[in-house]
Amino acid sequence: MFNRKHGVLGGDKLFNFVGTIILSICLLFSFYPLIWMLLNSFKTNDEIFLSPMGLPSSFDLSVYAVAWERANFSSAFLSSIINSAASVALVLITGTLAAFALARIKFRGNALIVKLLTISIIISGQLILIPLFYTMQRLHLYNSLWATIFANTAMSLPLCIYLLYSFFREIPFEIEESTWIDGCGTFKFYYKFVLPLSKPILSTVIIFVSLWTWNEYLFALTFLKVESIRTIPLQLQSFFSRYSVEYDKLFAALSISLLPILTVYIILQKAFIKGLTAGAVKM
Amino acid sequence: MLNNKKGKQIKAYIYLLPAAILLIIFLYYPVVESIGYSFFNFKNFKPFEFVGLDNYRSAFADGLFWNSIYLTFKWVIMNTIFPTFIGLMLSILVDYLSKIQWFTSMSRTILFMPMMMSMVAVGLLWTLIYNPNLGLLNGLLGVFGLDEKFIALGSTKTAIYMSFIPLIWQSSGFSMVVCSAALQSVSKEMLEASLIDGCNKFNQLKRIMLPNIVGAIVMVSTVNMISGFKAFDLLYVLTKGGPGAATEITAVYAYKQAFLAFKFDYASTMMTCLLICVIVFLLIFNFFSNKVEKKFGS
Repeated sequence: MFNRKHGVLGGDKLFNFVGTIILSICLLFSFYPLIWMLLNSFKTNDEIFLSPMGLPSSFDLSVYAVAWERANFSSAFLSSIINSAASVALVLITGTLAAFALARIKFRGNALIVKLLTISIIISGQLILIPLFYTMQRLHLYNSLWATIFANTAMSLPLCIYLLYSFFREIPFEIEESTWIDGCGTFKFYYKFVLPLSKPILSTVIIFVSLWTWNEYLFALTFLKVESIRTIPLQLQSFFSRYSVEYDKLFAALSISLLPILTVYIILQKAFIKGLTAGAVKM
Repeated sequence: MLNNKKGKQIKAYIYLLPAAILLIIFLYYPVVESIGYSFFNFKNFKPFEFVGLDNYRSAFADGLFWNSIYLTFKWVIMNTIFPTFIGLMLSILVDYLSKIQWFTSMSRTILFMPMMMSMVAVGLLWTLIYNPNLGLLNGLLGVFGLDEKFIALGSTKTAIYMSFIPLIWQSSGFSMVVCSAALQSVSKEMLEASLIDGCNKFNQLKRIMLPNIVGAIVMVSTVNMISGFKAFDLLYVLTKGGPGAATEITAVYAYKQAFLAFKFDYASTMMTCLLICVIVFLLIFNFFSNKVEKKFGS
């Protein structure tokens, strides 16, 4: 390794140059479709046909109002918010308790449960869809947001419990011991010490679950048949099939559905990137 | 302390209870039920009589089922390879080449952005991109002088590949971020030492970086593979399995059989077959990936 020969590519300069060009093309490929969508949402239908890739002649927002009204986005956003918030709350409450028990208390079946949870990650929504369809009807949850809330919670619990479990396990035993001296019970240890110490992983779980439920489609498509409780992906899709040739409104509706989540992402990007990849890294 | 032990054990079960109730009612029992349904004949939307393996026999005799399994595997293999490879390439470009901090962080922000979108939004955006009259794709082809209208999802031969491009667009950013994290954790001393030895960036990459992140690559491809088996939304929105059955992966075919043709028994059978495929595929994949990881000793 002591020879100072420069490699086949003829040194770092060419390597950097080619790399920068490839990266720029990738960035364009990644970002331009979104810009294109946004620009086209300001155009009229004729303008879109005449110059699909050109700039809009004016920034007219009235088409947004029409799309918002017709796609019933007010109720869609409300449903999506309720759906996500309730799922996150359920996962946090039941998930942290379960993960705490698995990570900090030795009991029979502990290791087996952890193993079962990790294997459960491969279960797909379609596999359980038909039985769930019957279960929801039996429990009178069909056609209510509770159906998607419970289904989403159950689908995301295995991974979330596992994430929380891996984090809780790392909390030093000395802390737990010192709480015994103060006469602190298990439950007090859980909510006075474990939860405050686990803010990073809790935010990961919150981001992961809220984004997953925000974008979830299959359960919503199957369980939510009343229009007033449909979530954003569903409303968007039915809007697209109903007004399939009014392109200006399609672009506007798509933009409306994406702008909130993209704005939140740009503000909290570090947390989002971490939240979405942590799940994979821990597996 | 010993007295305490039993009480603590009981407490553990109490803490587990809420999650366990949710998981059993809405996850584990449905899995068992779904497998059970595959042995039954349905009448009036209810399990009617036990028919043993009859549903499996009719599935194995169904050409469309085999077609869907073939497409599912094609999809899974594409999903295991391409986003992983492209993500790895991007992570090298973003993290390793560029020395400008703001450019690196901006690239990461942009490349990861499509991960925020639902598969439905991705699919709908790409139906507009693929639209022969106003879409980006035909505009782009027009720039290169190809004025003929190209209907991206129209051909049975290429529809599955054209439907896969949106997935690359959406999910490469994820693989990139995981690979980046692995690249950043390679020890700085080793890299500096190699620079002193006159190693250029290309060799550094080949001999130091890549062997050190094999573990991360295997992990990313496993995650991508599992998500490949879970695919449904994108294809259902983009093509609904068409043209013909050219993009009808098992999940889409089963969904159509269940909720459009109301053959719940048959759909359950197909999903059970798919579950078995996933498990077998994962075991094989695990076996080989362990070998690869051992070889590189990471």
